[in-house]
Amino acid sequence: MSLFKVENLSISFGGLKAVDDVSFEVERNSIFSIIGPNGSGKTTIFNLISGIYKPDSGRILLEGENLVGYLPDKIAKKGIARTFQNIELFKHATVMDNLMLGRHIHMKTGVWSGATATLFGRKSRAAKEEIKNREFVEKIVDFLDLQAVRDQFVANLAYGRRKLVELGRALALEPSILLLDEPSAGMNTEEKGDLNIWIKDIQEVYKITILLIEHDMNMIMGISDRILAINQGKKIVEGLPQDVQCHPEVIEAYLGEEG
Amino acid sequence: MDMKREYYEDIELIGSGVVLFWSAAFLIFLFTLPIYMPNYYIYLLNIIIVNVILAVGLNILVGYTGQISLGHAGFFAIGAYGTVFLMTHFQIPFVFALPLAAFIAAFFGFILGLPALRLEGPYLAIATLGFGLAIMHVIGTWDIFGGRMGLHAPPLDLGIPKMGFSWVLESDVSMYYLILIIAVIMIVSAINLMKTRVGRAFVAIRDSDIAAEVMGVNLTIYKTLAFAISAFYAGIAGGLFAFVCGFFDPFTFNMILSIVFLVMVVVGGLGSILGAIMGATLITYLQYDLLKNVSETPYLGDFLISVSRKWFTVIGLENFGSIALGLIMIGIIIFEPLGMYGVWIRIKKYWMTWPF
Repeated sequence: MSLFKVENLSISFGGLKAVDDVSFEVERNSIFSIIGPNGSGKTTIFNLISGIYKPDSGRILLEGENLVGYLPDKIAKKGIARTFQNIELFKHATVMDNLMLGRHIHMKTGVWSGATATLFGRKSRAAKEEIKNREFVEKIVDFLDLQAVRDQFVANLAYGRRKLVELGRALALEPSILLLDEPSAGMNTEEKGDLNIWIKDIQEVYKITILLIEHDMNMIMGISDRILAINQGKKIVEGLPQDVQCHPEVIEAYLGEEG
Repeated sequence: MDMKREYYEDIELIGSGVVLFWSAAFLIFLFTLPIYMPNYYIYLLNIIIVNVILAVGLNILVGYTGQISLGHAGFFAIGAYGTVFLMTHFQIPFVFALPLAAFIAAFFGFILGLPALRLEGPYLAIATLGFGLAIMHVIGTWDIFGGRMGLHAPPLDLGIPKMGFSWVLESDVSMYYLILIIAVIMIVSAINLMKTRVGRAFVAIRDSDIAAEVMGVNLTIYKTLAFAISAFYAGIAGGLFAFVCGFFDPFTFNMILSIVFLVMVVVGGLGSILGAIMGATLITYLQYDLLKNVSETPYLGDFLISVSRKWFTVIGLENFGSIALGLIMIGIIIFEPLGMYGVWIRIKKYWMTWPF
């Protein structure tokens, strides 16, 4: 059985059908990419999956459980993490604090134990939990080469670094599915190369299933196991990279109709 | 620069020997203050510390969670009336009445937090403003709370009178120590809380509520929680305020008070506990003492009073007080958005890198 399944997903805003009867399946531990021209509904699909929008119809199944109707925080607890196209970081917090927020659902410290965290020194429950999770986050800092900016405020970081911090924050959640919304946008060639390797590592080392929205075709064709192409909210084709690449409707959607 | 060697140091209350030295020195200074301070100033200090407790709580809501409240005088009033009412009507000893009243305030904070889930910015400001005004007027019409005549605080008994154990605090100085100890506990708790999971969730909601949500922060729980914690602090401050003043009526907790509380937080520095402490201290001092001192200055004081009488109302220098408060607020927002905390950071940086 596939890990993640979307069935007949539809949503419209006013008269506009942003996503129209889209279905796809994602195999465990694969990289599944969604491509399409601007405004074709890629990010809307992500927003539907992560619970920011509620679909008009259709089902979103994670290991057989229907996620439709759950609030975003509940969907996060089910193990779906995401990044945003336009970076949604906590700007006035340090990189470390941003990553630690990713551990939120794995921690238990409440108001009382938090307020008394240093009362019993490092023996208190809150302090122990804090230390344990900081160790976990440190591995992500190492993995993404963020040591140099570990204690810096996100507002002071360059664009490419911020993208990485956001990726790190999503990883800290220990998701089973990771939604990446144009992770390479705004990165230079070198950064893109690194990112390519990291995404591959996330799949292979962390065993995380990845849903990817991306405009860089070289990257898409290189790392995707399967690709879904959509246009104007409708599914055009889904299949292996080479099949999708040569599909006439995909070429048409990107380049326009021939003479 | 001090290097960190283990993760515990990230959340440690006192990070370095320097901080330890200065905090200890400052605490010793505060605890020995009554020895060389005239009694009037102890009374003023009591009010300052009460306001510090409130400002630290308000900053958790406004500075850390990014929600606005123009109704904190309401929670302050619930704390004051609640504590006195529980003590006089139900004979509950002070040590239980104070936290109980604060929990009642926190409950109201939770209720007020519910509309905050839907409201933002100016709309939330209006909703909370309405709450503050409503509390003031509801209390004013209930005879059980003394109506418009107000209430007198009973003697401040730290013991449990029913069990024959009584420890009445009579002087301002003894009250000063009580308030100071409570304030230290409240401030340390706030610092701890903001460094751990709940505090991070608050900051996350402030900076990007949508990202906070998809990372698993339940907005309903954490927004109402921020209101409740903030109201709890206001409740504790209100309960202590009742005994510092000894007498209060509904109009003590008017709308202007809510605004002054907000001014303390903004002037001190949003999102900084040290800032809230500095802001509350400065604004309270300005309000209570500076004008009195200015009006007693030869020539200048007489001149200002005559100007005030000629152009404004006859209530002495309070007009200038409001004007000064407004000017400080405008100045801070234009020149130092981080407030007094921002100034403090710059001074600290200057000395740490001196003479370069």
